[in-house]
Amino acid sequence: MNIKALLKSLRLRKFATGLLLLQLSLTIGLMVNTVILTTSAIDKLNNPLGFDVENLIVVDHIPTSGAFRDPSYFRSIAEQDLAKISALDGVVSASHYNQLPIQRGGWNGNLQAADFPDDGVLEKYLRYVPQFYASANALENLGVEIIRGRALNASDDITKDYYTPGKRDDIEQNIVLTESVAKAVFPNKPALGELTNNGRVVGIAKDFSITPGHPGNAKYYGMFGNFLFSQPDREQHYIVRVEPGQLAHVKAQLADTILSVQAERDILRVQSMADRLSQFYSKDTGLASLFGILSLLMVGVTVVSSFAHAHFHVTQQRKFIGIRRALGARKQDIMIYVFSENWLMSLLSSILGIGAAVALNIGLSQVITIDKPDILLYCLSVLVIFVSGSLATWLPAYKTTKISPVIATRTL
Amino acid sequence: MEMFNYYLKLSLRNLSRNRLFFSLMITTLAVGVGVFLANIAIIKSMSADPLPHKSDKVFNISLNIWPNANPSPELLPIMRYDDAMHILKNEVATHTMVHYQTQVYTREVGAASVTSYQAKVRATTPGFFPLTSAPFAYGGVWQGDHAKQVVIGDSLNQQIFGGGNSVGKLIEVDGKPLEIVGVLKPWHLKPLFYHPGHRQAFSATDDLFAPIETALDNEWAINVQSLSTERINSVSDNRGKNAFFIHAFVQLDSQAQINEMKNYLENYSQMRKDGGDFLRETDNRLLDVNQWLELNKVVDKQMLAFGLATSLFLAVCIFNASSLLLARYHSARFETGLRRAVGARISDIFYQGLVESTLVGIFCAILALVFGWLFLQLSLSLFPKLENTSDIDGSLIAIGIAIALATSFISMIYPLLKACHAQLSTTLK
Repeated sequence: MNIKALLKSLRLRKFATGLLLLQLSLTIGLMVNTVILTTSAIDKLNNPLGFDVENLIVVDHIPTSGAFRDPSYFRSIAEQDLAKISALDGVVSASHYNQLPIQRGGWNGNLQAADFPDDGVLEKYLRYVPQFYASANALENLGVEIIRGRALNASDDITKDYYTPGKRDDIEQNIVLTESVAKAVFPNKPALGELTNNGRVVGIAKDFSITPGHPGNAKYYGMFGNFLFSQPDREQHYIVRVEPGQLAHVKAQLADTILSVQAERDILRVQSMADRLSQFYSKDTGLASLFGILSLLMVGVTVVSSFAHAHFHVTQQRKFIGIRRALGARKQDIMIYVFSENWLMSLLSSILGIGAAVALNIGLSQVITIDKPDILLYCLSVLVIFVSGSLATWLPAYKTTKISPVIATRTL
Repeated sequence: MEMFNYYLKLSLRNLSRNRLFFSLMITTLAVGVGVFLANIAIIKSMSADPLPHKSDKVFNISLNIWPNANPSPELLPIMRYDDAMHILKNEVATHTMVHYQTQVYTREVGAASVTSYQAKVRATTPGFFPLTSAPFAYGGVWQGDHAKQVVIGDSLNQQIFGGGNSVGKLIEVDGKPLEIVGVLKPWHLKPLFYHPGHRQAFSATDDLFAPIETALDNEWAINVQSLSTERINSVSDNRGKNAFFIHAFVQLDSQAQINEMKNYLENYSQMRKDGGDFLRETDNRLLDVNQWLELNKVVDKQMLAFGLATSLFLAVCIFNASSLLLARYHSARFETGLRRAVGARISDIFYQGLVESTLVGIFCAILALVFGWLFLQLSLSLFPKLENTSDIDGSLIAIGIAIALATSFISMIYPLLKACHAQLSTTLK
């Protein structure tokens, strides 16, 4: 194969060749970044969260009646709800929560040692530690293990004191911290038994993902207290843990079960925790899907261009191909000649594609978080371009083999 | 005109003679324009000016006051009750309003059905309505800070009363009656500039508007953003405490008013500092509507990223069309040569090519609008939260047509020039 001759032939069609090279390299660039976005979205969805996501159902609801402004009524209904839900077939346990894991925003507050100096500067994410006020079994219900100390129990419930006039200011609640936040608040000593601005630490729970958007260990920061906050204008949350395989069966009954206790509630959502996770990352998966569709379209357009380029070339060079055939070139020689031109184009574009992939990655990183391109993804994209280009060139190449050597004599 | 008709006929004949070729070319170009257009539909709506007649005169206020030592320099968009009340007292602004967001369930007093309707509530002050140009269909604003009166939006009016003039009717919240004193017309505000944070920029306007004092008296919770540095025992307990939850906006029609307002805020900060509060390193901030929306990053980052990709895709489609056209003109060079030989000038060939490119552009525009709509539906199904962000209006259709014509022209220009400048002698030989 004469590379020089091929390059010379391509140079004769500078404009068309240049356009195709640009197309191929931009397609490689887009494909590399699409795969990065897709793998990143898949990684996020498949990252172990540290709790029993597969067997949990979340119910979000809100009272519609003023009767719920009475904290004791609010509490009585919540207790009846949980008792009735727990009695359903297939339910392992159920708890109430003021907020849910896998969240953005939420109910956060600063968490610091009780003796933290007034003018001290707290680490950023310790100023926004998710504060969970929930049932005593809230962590067990999620499938989170207590690794030191003890779990919360009924004696830790501060609800009654909180709503008893005059008692609120004297409450010193018992809390459980996740391992990471305990280490961050008490870096030089064990947190167990220590007093924080939010209560005394009686237990340390294994880390689990609470705020997945936070960096490093801050995503595991969380504080748990046993308290039912009666705020009827806000969404209330129940999490129901079910036996494996019972999710759909239990989910279908939850709304009616809750409304059968007290009908004046608006059931906003009943969804599995897995669905909540998918929804949490819906923007990432949505963007990856859009990029995927665009990449497919781009490959399609590039195939059309490769086909047109080869076809155009063959039409233009019918006479010369005829001469080559007359001079003894075999059909497969001619076929390889047409293919090799496409392969050469793919090779050149794969070099330009490095620049396109990096430039697009830099451009995208200005607006979204995206990983850096890696060599494997690049090779994969180049392979797609080689294969699709070869397929697009096959028909013009095959037609070329049908050019008779007689053509050479006809036009001379 | 006669020549134009002739060229048009010629172009149509060309298109019909090379049906497969032109349909391939028009389709790829239309897909590129359509995808680009769908993206523009979303970004255009997200970056729209919600108050075009006075967005440079309406300002958000962020104060630099903090109750504890060593505050971070970053300003909060929310302020305390006392701060908000002080801002309301100003005599500088044309209109001033403060607000917080809450939510209630409501129904008509004495309704046979027990069904209550969820209502997003803006607990605010009378200045809200002239400042946001909220359109009243009936009635007006409440009288008195603690009045048990409300203004309702069109959709809540439709839900509870089936529409019409509901002024004077009573609704109840938690069993307490509230009199309707005003009903708004259907009101679309995109983005919702007075509360764009917390993924609310493209939410519908509120269902119910109530005096802020009445909302606090009734313990209507702050359900979006609040922050406190001390224990707050109830919603009404937020008054006078270090609880940050109120947003403030002013309308300042002249530079003199802006300067005066800056002084007013500065004096207030100093007064609070003298009273024991601390000031952040950053100055008090007045941002007009568009600056405020920019700060809140209302344009979705994912859509901007996708915008970059769709631009590249459009470029690839143009390259593809151009490449196809080059092949087409090359194969038609004998015909072009013949026309030149029988007397056609280069300008005539170019003019005919231009007519053909316009015709291709028109077909491409029609197809691009269809692809654009389809791709928009696809984008919205993948990003359900963007449902309220895209409007296909006249201006967008005009943009689509213009892009299709322009891309068709760009694709055609080089191949056409090449065809025009082909050596006559070579072609004829």
